[in-house]
Formats: sequence, C-alpha cells, structure tokens
Amino acid sequence: MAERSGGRVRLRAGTLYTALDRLRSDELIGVDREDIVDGRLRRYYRLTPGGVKRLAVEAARLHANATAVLRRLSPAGGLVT
Amino acid sequence: MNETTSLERGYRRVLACYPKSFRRENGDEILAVLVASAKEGQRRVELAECAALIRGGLRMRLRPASRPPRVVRSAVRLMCVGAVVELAAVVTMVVTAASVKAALAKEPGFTVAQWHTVTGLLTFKEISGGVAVALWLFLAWAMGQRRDVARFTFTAFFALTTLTMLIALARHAAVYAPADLIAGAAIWLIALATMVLIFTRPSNTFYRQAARPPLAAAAG
Repeated sequence: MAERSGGRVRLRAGTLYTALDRLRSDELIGVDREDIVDGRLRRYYRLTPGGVKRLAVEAARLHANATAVLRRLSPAGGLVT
Repeated sequence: MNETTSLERGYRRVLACYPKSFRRENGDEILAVLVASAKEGQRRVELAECAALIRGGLRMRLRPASRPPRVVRSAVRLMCVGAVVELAAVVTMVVTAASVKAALAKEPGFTVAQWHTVTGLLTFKEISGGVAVALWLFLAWAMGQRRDVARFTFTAFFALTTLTMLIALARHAAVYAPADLIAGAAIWLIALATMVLIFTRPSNTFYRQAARPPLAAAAG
C-alpha cells in the first residue's frame, strides 16, 4: 500500500481491518480465496461488481474535480478569479 | 520462548479490544498481517501500533454492525410510537374499567353470567395490551439489532392484530366502543406502516447482510 501510493499512504493493520470490515458489510468487497502460508491464515479480497461500479463512480468524480481545477490553473484557461 | 510467540501474544492481548465476532472471523488473519509486517527481531508491540489497534477496535465496537438504512430507523421509531399508543390504550382501559363496570351493573336485565364475561374480557384485554406494549418495544430493539427473525415475528403480530380488528368489526364493536375501535385502528395503521417499511428493498438488503454468507460460498 505504501509502495503503490509512493509512501503517501501508510495503512496500519487496525485502520485497514476497520475499513475492510465496513466494505465487506456494505458488500463492496468479498473474500476471494484463503491460503495457509507458513501455518498462518491469509485471506484475499476482491471487489464485488457493486464495488467496482462504486469505485468507478468515485474515481470519475475525483477526476472531474481535478480536471476542473487543472483547467483553471492552466495558462490557456486564464487566471484564477 | 522465541520472539515471534512473545510478539504474537502481545498482539493477541491488544486485539482483545476488538469485538468477539470480529476476532472469531478475522483474528488469525489480522494477526498474520501484524506478525508479517513486524520489524526484524521485534519482540514487543510498538506504542503507535498499539494505539492504532485500540482505536480500530473501539471504532468497531462503537459502530455495531452497520448503521441501519433510513427506512429501518423510521420503522424502529414508528414501533416506539406503536408502543406508546398501545400503552395509552391500556392505561385508559385500566382507568375507566371501574366506571364501565359500575355503569353495566346499573343496566337492567344484566345477568351475572354477562357480568363475568365482561370482567373477564376486560382483564384479558388489559393483559394482552400489556404484552403488546412489551412486544412492540422488544421487536423495535431487535429490528435495530438486525435480527431478521424480528421482521417475521412482527408479521405474525400484524396478522394477529388484523384478525382481532376484523373480528371486532364483525361483532359491531363500533356500536358500543368507538374509542376502543379508534385506538385499535390507530395501532393497526401504525403496524401497517411498519410492515411496509421493513419489507422495502433497502430493508431487505440490510437484513440479508445480517447472516454473512459462509466464506466458502462467498469465495470465487
């Protein structure tokens, strides 16, 4: 997680599992499979179709926000008023 | 004792602040993540880690399951109103019982057998009313706690209320007890509105989540 976000997001296990539990109860993610690695349980999660849809909507919303800001900042768009 | 077991015991102690149901399902999994992400040679739970885990555990405890959707919250409130109306009806019945009996006693041609029937009926209505108040409140609580069985118990209760209403109407109860009929109708309407609310689509989704699918079924 820290690697993917370039070190901006450091998720502690406590925070992570609170989030996972909520996502699971909202049926946005589900258990994909389970493994036993070195005698320890490892569980893999996967986005549900509803989760994929929600994520796409959220990403589009953030993208639209960012685009609006960038347009204002660009020289062609003129100064921020 | 090796350092992993000592660290693991430390984590287990901190994990005790999570709800039991969560620990049962995710305890081993979260422990594996914690141990795997521990620093080389780490023997004790770090303070910051410990604080984060306690925070997560408390947050999970304070948020029992997930917040019910609006329709369910409205249904719970409505059921509390139902309990209040029912209680008002019972109190009115208890308070006026003496005067009703006195009025009946003066009635000419009123037999002892009829007298016993009326007193018996009044006592029965008082007791069943009291039970109904308790039932309204208990089901409201259970409904908020995501107990799906509460919905079906309420359905049975609603069917019983409807039946009682119909019998009362068939016996022309309105002729001699309009107040009773009004109270009955009010309670029945509240129950009907509750029924509609608890069987809407958001409610169905909410109660279906209550029993999480077994992991094997959820996988894949």
